[in-house]
Amino acid sequence: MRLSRTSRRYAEALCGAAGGANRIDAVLADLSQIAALIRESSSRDLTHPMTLKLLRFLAEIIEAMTTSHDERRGILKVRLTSAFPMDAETVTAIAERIQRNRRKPVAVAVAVDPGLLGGFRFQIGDAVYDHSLRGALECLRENLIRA
Amino acid sequence: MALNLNPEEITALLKRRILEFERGARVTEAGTVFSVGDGIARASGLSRVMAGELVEFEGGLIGIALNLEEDNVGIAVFGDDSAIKEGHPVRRTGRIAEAPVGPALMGRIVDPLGRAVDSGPPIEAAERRKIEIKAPGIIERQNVTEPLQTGYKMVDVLTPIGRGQRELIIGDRKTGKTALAVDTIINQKGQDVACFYVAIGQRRSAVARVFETLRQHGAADHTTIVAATASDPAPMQFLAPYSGCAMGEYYRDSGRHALIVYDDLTKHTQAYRQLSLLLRRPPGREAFPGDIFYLHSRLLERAAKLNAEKGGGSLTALPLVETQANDIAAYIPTNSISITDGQIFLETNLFNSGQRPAMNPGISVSRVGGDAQIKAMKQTAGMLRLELAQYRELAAFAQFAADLDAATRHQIERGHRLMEVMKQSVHVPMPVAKQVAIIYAGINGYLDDVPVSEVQHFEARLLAFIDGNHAEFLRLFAEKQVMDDALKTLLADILRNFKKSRADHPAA
Repeated sequence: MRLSRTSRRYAEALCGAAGGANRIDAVLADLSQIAALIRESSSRDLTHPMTLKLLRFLAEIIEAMTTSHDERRGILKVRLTSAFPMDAETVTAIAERIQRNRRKPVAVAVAVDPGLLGGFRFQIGDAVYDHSLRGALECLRENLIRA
Repeated sequence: MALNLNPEEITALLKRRILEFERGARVTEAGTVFSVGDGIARASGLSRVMAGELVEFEGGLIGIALNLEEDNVGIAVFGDDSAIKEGHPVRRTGRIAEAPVGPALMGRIVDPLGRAVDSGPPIEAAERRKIEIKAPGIIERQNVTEPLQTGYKMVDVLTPIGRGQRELIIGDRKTGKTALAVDTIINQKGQDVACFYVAIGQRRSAVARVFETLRQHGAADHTTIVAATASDPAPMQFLAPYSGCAMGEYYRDSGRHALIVYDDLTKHTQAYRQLSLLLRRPPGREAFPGDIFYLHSRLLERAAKLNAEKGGGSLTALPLVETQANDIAAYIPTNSISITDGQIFLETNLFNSGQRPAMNPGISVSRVGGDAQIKAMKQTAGMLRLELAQYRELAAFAQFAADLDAATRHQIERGHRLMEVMKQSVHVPMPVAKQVAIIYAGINGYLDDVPVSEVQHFEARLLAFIDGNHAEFLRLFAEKQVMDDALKTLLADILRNFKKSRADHPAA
């Protein structure tokens, strides 16, 4: 998700106001509950679209705060996408491997995309590490065209 | 080479490639598209993308990163942007826009990225060059010394163009700008000058016509057409001149000569204005962005004559600019005039009154001047320029005077004939020896007793007479390139013989 400049600014302000890493952790724990609530609630429960917009904005601020707090603590955010749902062991194995490689703690967000056909892909920042079948097929295609 | 392969061989080759293919992780840098429309996509991420780097969308569509902002990148898309959706990934390629260069391009029509758009096979060039590079420095250059003959008497005499010069061709629509440029390309046949015709924002039929003209006159083989037509997206039109320039620089930098025609820069500025406004760069005068001058100055500075150490190659540029109602004081025309080394100004009323090329000799200039003429032409042209200047002055004055003295009348009469000599049909460029011959005849009074309406017939028959009976003049001229006494005597003899033989009076 792309975070707007405004939400990042609110997030910075919140971090500043909370003061101290421990207290930010506490605030974030509260906020993530709210974020989960927002995710669960559907638009049907709300009567006015404005309310929904406000809630989405709030969710964005919480995400921005998590991101900036992770960055500050040096936690790498990894987005792991696989063709099929992965079991917890595999995810941990991948996370550990990345952690060892980068010498930084990681926070993994898991997603499933059947479009990958097989294998998995993970993204750290802007860099995409593609171990998927689809990526391999694309590589092969380029290879054949270039030859 | 690929043509000799049979299907079995191709299958075997593909099989081997597939078997040899090693599956490894592919590491790319990617961003996410968050808005797209009007040929411009904006993406978040891509934090390390370079300015002008090519990026790839899903499905292989290419774009160029033009705006690098704090939290997003503005990308101009080379193609139909309807396939790009919000949330799609966009990948860095790590490449700055480049084009294929070299002899493989000769005789071809390509798009600004160097992909063939004619019916021929894909371009297989040994070398690729970056499209946007810096112009040669001061030390690497030298003065323009060799002529680049356009084949038009009027241009070669009055506003001579040298190899490495930038000469602007400016005028309203339908005044013969393209014809002048195309004829210059035709006249380079056999001169070892590689030609590039960059069509920007033109109708496809117009580009096809130019190609056909070049082909008919045997000039297609030394010419590459870089086409970004009106139906191509604005980023393509924006890139076209830089791409063509990179192709021309290949010849310049290898000690050879190249000529590039930008047809036309008005459309180029419009394409760039569209891009800039869609990228939300602040508009300035006439809604053009602030760097509109730099847009053309950095392009035209790449036309140069290199010094001997660098091989002495040259790239000559003929940019075309279209004016509205002869207004050369408008924004883009004044910019272009100030960047170039002179301009050829074509006028509608001259064109309609039958003077073709419709060049206005009064305000057309070449800042390189005589340096770009061979000695013989310089000797002849000096006299002609003087005669024409006096003629113009007297002709304006004579409009108010009823009776004139004999000397004035004589001057005006000769001026009429010289202006007649300056006329020339399209697609018949004339070699310099013949130009000198007819102009010599004009300024030395050999035309004074020929009726004005007969001057063009006289010229045609004189040149045929020289071709048929006095080829030694052409040979001697090519050898000496200077109008010394021997050559002058020979030419005078030829002219006397010709008039005596009455070859100029076919009826008699």
